[in-house]
Amino acid sequence: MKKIITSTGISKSYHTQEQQFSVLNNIDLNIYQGDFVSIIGKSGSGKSTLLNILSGIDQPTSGQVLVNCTDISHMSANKLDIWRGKNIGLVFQFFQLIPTLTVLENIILPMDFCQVIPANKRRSRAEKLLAKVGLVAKANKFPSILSGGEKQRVAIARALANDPDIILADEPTGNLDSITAKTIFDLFSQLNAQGKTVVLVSHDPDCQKYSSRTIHIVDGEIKHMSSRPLSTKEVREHA
Amino acid sequence: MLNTLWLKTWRDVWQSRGRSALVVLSIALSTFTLGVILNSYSILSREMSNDFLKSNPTAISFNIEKFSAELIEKVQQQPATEQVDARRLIFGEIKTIAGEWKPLLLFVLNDYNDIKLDILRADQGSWPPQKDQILIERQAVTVLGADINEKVQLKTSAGLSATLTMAGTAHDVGLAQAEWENVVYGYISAQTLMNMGGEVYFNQLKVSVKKTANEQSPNKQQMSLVARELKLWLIDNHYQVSNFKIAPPGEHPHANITGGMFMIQKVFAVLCCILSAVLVFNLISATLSKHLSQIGVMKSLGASINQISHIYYRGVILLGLMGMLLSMPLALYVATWYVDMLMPMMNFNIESYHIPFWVLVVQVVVGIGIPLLAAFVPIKRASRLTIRETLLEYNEHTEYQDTAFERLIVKFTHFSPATSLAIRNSLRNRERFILTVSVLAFSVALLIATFNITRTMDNAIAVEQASKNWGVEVKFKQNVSMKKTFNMLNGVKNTTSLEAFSRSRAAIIDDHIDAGEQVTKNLESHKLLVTLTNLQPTSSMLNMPIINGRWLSNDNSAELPEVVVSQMVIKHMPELTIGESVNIETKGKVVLFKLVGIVRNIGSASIYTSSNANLSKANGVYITANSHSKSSLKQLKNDLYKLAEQQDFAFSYINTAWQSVDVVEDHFEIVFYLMMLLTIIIIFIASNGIMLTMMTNIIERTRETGVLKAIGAANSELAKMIFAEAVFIGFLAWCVGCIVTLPLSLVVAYFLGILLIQTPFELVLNPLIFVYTLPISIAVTTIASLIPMQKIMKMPVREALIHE
Repeated sequence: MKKIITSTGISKSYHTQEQQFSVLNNIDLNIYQGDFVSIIGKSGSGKSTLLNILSGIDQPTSGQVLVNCTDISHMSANKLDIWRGKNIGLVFQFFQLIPTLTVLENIILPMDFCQVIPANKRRSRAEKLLAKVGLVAKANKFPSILSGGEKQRVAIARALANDPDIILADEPTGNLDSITAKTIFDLFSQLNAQGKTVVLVSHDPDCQKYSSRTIHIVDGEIKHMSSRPLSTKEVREHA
Repeated sequence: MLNTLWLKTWRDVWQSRGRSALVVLSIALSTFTLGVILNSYSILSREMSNDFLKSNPTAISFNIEKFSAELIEKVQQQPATEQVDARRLIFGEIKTIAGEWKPLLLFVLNDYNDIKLDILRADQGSWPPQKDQILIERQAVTVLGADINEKVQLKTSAGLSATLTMAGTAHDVGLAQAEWENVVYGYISAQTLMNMGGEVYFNQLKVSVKKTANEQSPNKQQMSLVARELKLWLIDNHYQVSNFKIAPPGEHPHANITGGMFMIQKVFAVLCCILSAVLVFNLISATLSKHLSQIGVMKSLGASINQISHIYYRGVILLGLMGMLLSMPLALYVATWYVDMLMPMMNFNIESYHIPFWVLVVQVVVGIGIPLLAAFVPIKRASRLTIRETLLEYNEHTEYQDTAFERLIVKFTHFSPATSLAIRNSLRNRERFILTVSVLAFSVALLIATFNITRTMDNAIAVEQASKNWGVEVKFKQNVSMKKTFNMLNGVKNTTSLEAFSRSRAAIIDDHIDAGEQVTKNLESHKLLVTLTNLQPTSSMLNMPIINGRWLSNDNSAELPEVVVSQMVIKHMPELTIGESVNIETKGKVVLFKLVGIVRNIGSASIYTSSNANLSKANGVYITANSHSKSSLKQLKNDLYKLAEQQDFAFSYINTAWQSVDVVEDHFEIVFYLMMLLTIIIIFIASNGIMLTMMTNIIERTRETGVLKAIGAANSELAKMIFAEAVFIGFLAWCVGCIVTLPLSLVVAYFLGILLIQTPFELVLNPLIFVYTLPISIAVTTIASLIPMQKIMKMPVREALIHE
């Protein structure tokens, strides 16, 4: 299988006035095209930092990240932002929809930024994506009237706007109840089934049920990598 | 469908419509101020110049004792002369409809239908003036108060008197403003003068100069050369030339006054623009700090720095356009009204209200360019932030660190923790804090400066008034016996004392000037024409402030007679020093004087001496009265007119001590109202900015306020904290404003003095306004805090805690 994300020797540490603390230590990781990877771990374990480094939002203190054979560790911030818009779809815990744009406009926004999709096809593509997440009826509503689950579905549709190969999601169900969370995981599963590579960071052990691989992070290190869901007992043991 | 980036821009502006409205209003006000000033300036300067040039203005004007039409022919033959014209100027007085005698400048022209230079134009009524008729300059009609066909009574300084019919009005564009000068300009025919018993001759020779070889109008230096040659030629031909005046080519006589007025207005307009720029800076900074997470999200979706910048720049352009849409038509309308208001004051006709293209371009550039410039730094800074800096919770800049300044305040004031928190809150966003304090401090400084300048101008009037111990001065045409005059005047009611003086024209000969400069000096090469007043040695009638040296002494044993000069003399001859010997030409003789002092007065270049102790025959009398109030002196002046009619004594003029001050007071009043209006506009813009900043400060901390409420802070406690913050900012701005106002007042007093009385004003501070501005400053910040304070106090804790 083709490697789509390769991280080699990733470390990340922070400095304060008084001390230095390490968040990630020497992480080596390969993600393959079509993978559905769940990254799990306790709060503060470094899983979100790892996802941010993989998406280029954050820079590692040392190490290299190759995404689709592109070394994103040394790209300028502006180039990286443009590149990311075309190649990676991001989903956040707090949805991060633009409040002054309607649902449909929120989905068109990345297409307007990246100009990959021709201008005359953007609206119909946005409508198709909305249909995919089951929110056509809400197309012209503003995000403020949507429920949490609806907002996250819009955010997923927006992540697909420029048809990226990779979807990275940071705690996408962290703000949702379990029933809604299940619909979101189902959606990610469908996308994975359609060929998208999905990397998902979550507290929720249920996410493993949907993923093809699970990476368990403890104190900035990969404690365990498995091609099947870990049992609660296993998670406790690794911790 | 609009591009989503445009939609975002529009909806962001709409979402914060309260703030946007404030910014639009401020941009509109600043571009409106600038628009009114530029529009009116462009119309006024063009139309004033066009109207003036239509009159074919004189280049050189000679005052000659007496000459006939024969001289006109001869001067016309001179090689440099283009056109020649002549008229007679007679000084006198005219009785207004209210019964008051006012100074009269009476012009006698031979042929009103063949005026070559300084062309007089018919305005209303009949034209030209027939026998026993007078035309009045249209602007002087308000001074005279008469209507067409009414009879007016006049007297000349030569003792001629007549009652003439005001046949109509004329327009003489080149004359000084009649209302300001409190003078009446009249025009009669030679026949009328003869009927009055006057001799017909000319005393003003007007000349225009031929263009140079390359068809260009001669410059002032070339005109000086021509004037000097002509003067020498006239003297060689036995004409007595008392002086000559060169008009700057094509420049209206009021050009420097209007230029000065517009200069002040332009400075204020620029200040308005700067303040609105600060406001835009604050709004954009506040908006961007609220939008940081959105910027992060947009970047995560693939937005480039440029795309993000453009979203916010478009917002600024939108606000600028809205501001301009409001201001530009209004500015055009008000400018037209302003021009119409100034037109009669400046005495010229307007043919077109056309606004030049550059004026519109400047307004657009300022209306959009300045807000864009102000927004440049915050937008550039925000759009370059990385996603990590904008979105992620673990960025390193969230920790608060106090400064030495805050530590000092908190240490020495022993405030409660809540008040200390309020002070720290105000200092939290230091950039915004500095801008808020600066804007408010500047407004406070400007308000204080306006009142300081008013006090300064009042003081200048008081000093001028105090410098005259006399109540009324009577000036005769020639020297008269003082014994006889005193006998006559002693009978006038309320008169307490009389003192003779002699006033004549004189010239200070500039010994410092070199041969090269002689050519370029404006007034008769190397002489400065002045008014010489010869006083009694023991005179106490004048009490002008001494700038340098001393007043005249009673010591008759001095080697040289003493002279004191006004500051206007020093302005023209800065080389003169105290103790120096000065050659002064008077009545055809050159006498050496010793300069002993420099005094300050309002008016033209004057010199004072008491060298001629024998004033048994003199041409003036100072009169003191029981009361020197305005009304008493006016009554005394009227009594003197009646006496003059009864006793048949001829005088040049009778002035009360208030007369010159009244004219200056009117000028000062206009300046005060102008400054006050512009200050109010600036304070309004500044208040908008402060309100916006205080709102942003408070709303930004909504979540923290929620926490404070959650841990038990009552609304009254929160209100106290917000008020403490407002009082702190208001007080600090007032302190800074009180300091800034000192150099600001000094600079304004300096330039305004030069503009209005040709010498810098001596700044007098108004202590009360310093005190009054403290509550004003605190009130502005407190009122600005009220709306956001109410909003967050009403907000439930749960809502406040999740506020983004």
